[in-house]
Amino acid sequence: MTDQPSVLGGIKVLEIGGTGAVPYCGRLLAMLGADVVKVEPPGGDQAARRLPPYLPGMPALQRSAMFYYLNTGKSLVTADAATPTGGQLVARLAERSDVVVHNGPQVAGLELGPALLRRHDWIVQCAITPYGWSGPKADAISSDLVTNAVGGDAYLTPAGLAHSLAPEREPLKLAGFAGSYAAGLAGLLGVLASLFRRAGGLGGDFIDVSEQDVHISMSREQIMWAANENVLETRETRAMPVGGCFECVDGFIQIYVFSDEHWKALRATMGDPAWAESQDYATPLSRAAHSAEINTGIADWARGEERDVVYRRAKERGATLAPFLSPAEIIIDQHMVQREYLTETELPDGAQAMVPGRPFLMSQTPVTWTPGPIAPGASNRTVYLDLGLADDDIEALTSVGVI
Amino acid sequence: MEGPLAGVRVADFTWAGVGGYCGLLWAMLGAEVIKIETKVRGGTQRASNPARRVGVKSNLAEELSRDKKSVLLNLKTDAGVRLARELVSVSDMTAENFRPGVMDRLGLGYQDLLRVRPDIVMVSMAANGQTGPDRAVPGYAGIFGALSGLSSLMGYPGGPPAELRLPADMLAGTMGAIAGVAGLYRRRVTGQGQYIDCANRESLGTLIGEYFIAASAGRAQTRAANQVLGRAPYNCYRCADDPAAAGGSLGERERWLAIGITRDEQWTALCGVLALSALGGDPGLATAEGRWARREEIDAAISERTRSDPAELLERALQAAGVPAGIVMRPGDLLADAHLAERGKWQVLDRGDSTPWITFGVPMHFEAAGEADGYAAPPLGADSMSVLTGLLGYSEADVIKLQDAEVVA
Repeated sequence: MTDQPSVLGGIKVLEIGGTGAVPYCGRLLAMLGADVVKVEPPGGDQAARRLPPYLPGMPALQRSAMFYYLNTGKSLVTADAATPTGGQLVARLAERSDVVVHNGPQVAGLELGPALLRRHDWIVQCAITPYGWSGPKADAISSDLVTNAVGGDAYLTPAGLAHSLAPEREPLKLAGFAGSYAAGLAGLLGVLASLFRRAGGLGGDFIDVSEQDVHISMSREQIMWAANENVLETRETRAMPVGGCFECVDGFIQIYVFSDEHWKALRATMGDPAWAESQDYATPLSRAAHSAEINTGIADWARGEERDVVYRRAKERGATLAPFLSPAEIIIDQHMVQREYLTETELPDGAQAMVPGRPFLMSQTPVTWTPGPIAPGASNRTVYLDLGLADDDIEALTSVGVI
Repeated sequence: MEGPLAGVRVADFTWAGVGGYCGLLWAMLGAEVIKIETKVRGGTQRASNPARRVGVKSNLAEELSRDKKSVLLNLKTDAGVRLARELVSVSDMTAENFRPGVMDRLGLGYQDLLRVRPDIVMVSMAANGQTGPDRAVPGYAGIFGALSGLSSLMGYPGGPPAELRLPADMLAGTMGAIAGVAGLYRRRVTGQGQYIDCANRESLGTLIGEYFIAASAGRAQTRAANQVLGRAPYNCYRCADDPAAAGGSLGERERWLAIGITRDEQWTALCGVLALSALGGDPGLATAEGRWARREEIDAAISERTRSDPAELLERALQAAGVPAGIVMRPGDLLADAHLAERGKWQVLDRGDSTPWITFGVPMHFEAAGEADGYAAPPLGADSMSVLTGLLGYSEADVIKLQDAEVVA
């Protein structure tokens, strides 16, 4: 499969800074076949390399499963971008790149942003920052949780059962660093669209991705209501009229009941109980008017059922119902196994792990990655030799702590 | 300004949140997106669930149909399917998010479309993908969110998982948009189109990849609310109630501030702003490890301080001191936000009914290519005549005949 030409074969990417959005964007670029060089400070990015979850039995700066997930398969180099010499190295790496993805770091002697585009109008540059490149909050400090908050979605999370059981509790971010990765996706879309434009004979671009904007864009429905109908959605009102999350004997299931067909299929899955046949529940609007009693009926039924048995029955009946699966369950889920969604990979310490391989399957080009070393500066020699430095130069720069 | 995808034409068969957002992103980036809509069960795919929020008039499908064209075809007729194929034959890309097999049954599967457009880029976005034993399982956001693993990690410790809603649709749609543009780029370089299977469930799974790795290495994680191992304070804290919502529901009254510390010096600054001098001076809390061990005590102390102050005041003071803090913003807060206004993120669209329609713009900015100018969603079939005459070469009389035969509307 790796013999096939990839989407981004021949495209050189330089990645600088960031712990979530920027490396996630870089990871997907690498999976599409780009040659991604990631710059870290000498000794490695202390913050990024300490992010959870942790792998057992690994040295401190290599035990982050998140860092491994995001960065294996890239060429990892180190450079102290704040020093003139280090900044110059980064600038030279940038100049020979097709794509530069960063979070607006300080690089001595290299002005990022529109200035870089003016100097090198073929480079596709993408900055992914908490509040964007411009505006009064452009320099405001942030973190993944804060991004979820100021993007409008945390206010509406969780909805349904999780909220109704604990209505006084705090709003929630997306799991893990998914809120940051979302911005990485936006950056990737921008980069690919700009490479497409560039391949048509036009120049490079500077793409300004604000993590806040990315999140707001995903809450369009609630913003539309607030802006145009003066309707405020809350975690409470966001609950589905009928359906939602229900507890089974051994886990949780999610149920959707929008249409009459959904309702019919759910009734069949429940074994057509007499209570559900009421004419009061015959249309979406009448079901909404009786949602509390319907949801009580579903909850009473679910409580006595096993999750996977219900799911199997729902599949036969065509009901919109599914179990909440954990990553550990998905790894052995027959559907995902058959689709080869996860790849067995050897971790740096020789242990085996399952890694989600690709976000989509392309019929003509592989979307995959090659695991590589993740020690800080693992590719210093290869990359800097390629940049024209001699072994002596590399040694000297290493001894003074520039790389 | 026209956007980086200017000149690209998309025959868009998608519907619902995932497909709608995918096509919207392409349109915002400058592609000409022609939505091929069809009548289903007496309504159309644009109809929203009438019970979703009783009393609300606006419709998400309309919001997601902005910046696109609308052609209404009856795909239950051979002539309608032929027209759909003709539209694909003049397009660069096509997309759909039906259950696997639906497009084939309509005569619009990838093999059918290859015959009319050998270099077409086609993106399919089924909940579970095109292959595998569960491929026919239908999915809305909550369903594929539950199956993806993402939901299972969200919620309060010991409580149920948090069901995913629109963000899940939008994230899966963004991945579809990425897949399509990757295909377009490849086609521009090599001349070769391709078929892309972009399963919503897998799109979301890639957002928690590290949790799969950890689980397979024997370190499965459970729901932990806003916690990130090793970070404290890292949570949302209740502030003073919104005075404008006195007497309203909890959701209307409550204000929250997110504080997410990532560095030791931010802790010192935080203690200064909130006058938490005892905690600030405690050497045991000077390191992340020390704070993590006592995170509940820290959360309680911060909550006690924030509960009586307005969120805006706290956010401003903390940000000025270099502390990562941000209000848990409600839609209304976003609409009133000076930063977003200065960045020009809001658009006012003309829906032809003299009421300005306020909407959020493009979630990224291209310095050189710009973005497409937005416009309101066309009424269903509003572009049928112009597309069929302008793009496919039919005469107006032909189209009227097709309309009379209920092939086109």
